[in-house]
Amino acid sequence: MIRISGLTTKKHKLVYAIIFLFPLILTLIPHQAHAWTGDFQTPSYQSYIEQWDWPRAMSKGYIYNAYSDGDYPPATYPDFDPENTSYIIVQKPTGSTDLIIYFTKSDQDKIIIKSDENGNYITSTRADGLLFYAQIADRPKTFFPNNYYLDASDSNSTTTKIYSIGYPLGSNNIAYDSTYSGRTYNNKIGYTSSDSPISCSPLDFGCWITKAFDGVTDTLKKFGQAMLKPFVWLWIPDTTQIKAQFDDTNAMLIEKLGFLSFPFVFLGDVISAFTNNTLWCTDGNCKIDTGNLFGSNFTIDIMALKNMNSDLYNATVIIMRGVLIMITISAVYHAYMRVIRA
Amino acid sequence: MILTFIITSIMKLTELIFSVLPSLPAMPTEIINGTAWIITSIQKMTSLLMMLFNPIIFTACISTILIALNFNYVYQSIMWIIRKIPLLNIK
Repeated sequence: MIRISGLTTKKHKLVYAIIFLFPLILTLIPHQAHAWTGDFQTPSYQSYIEQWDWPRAMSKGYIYNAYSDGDYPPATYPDFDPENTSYIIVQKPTGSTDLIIYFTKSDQDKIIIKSDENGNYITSTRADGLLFYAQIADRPKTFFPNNYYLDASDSNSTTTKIYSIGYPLGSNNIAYDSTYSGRTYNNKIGYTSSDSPISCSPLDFGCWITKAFDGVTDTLKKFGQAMLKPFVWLWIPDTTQIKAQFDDTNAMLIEKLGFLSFPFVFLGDVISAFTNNTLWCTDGNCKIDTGNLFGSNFTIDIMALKNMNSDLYNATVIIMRGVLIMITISAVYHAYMRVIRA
Repeated sequence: MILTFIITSIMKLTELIFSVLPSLPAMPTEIINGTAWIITSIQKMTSLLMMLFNPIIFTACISTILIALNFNYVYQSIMWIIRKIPLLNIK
């Protein structure tokens, strides 16, 4: 018989039961919720799909290098997240096929891109009504609101709202489900034939076995993910919520403590000065304004040396790195010798 | 969810306690402006060093140097934590 130390009285048993049952109940509730909502579908996604047709097939893939330019704030444009990007192919009643890309970084930040009637490019209407254009292409392209697009390298406008999606899909990154035929998709978007799903002939047992193993693997993966989600929901803290709460508390404490909080604020600023230091120097630009420290304003342009004499610049960098590494080795050596002597 | 609830509760309780207390006067603006200049200078110089030394090399070397120079304190801190683990039984 298994005896648990300390589990002796009825009171103790009740406490232990609550400790174990409470997380279990909380775990089961979100599990049911996830099972009901499915993998990635959300109400807004569903309502959009119903405007077109039922999805004939679904696929998932990867998309890269999405960014915005011009006068539109990049911060409000979400990055493409491979894990949260879904590709949905819909068969419209007219017979034409459309590709819808659905990607999101959070529940508050959803974007749906759909192909237009010609299928040449993909448009999206954000929640704020802004329309922009993008394309699944083999190289970066830039699209303007008047349906005219250029290669990204030809873009010289900074006033037009421009959005580019570069190198969006690798042909091996798309996994189709069994209901997808692939023909219309290829003709419409221009994928190569290698993107088409492999159809097994009746006597091709290797193909059928591979498909069966793939199906089992996918099922196990989905099962594992479904089991993991509720535990993650229960035990992994919501960083966004905690950060927001921490920021509120921090602001309130700074206000209440007044000058007493200044050393902590200063220490935090110094640490962030070391960590967030990409403001002045990048690979192509490093101009440091010294202010009026020496009586007059002047700027130190480190990159000027690189532009004037790249060999001298590279040699200087190598020597400085060598000196830093030698200092490190020397410090470690002296620390080692101190230990040995002790 | 559980950890979020616990952490949020602690922070809310802290806010509740401090909301009762009066606010202390803030630091004078002159001092804040002076320290802002120091921080900006640190940020600029760090940015320059990061570019010249490569962030990985710079971070690794500076961390190693600081640990080596303060080896005694680092060693004592680690041993103090290890001694607290009863399973290891290190005195």
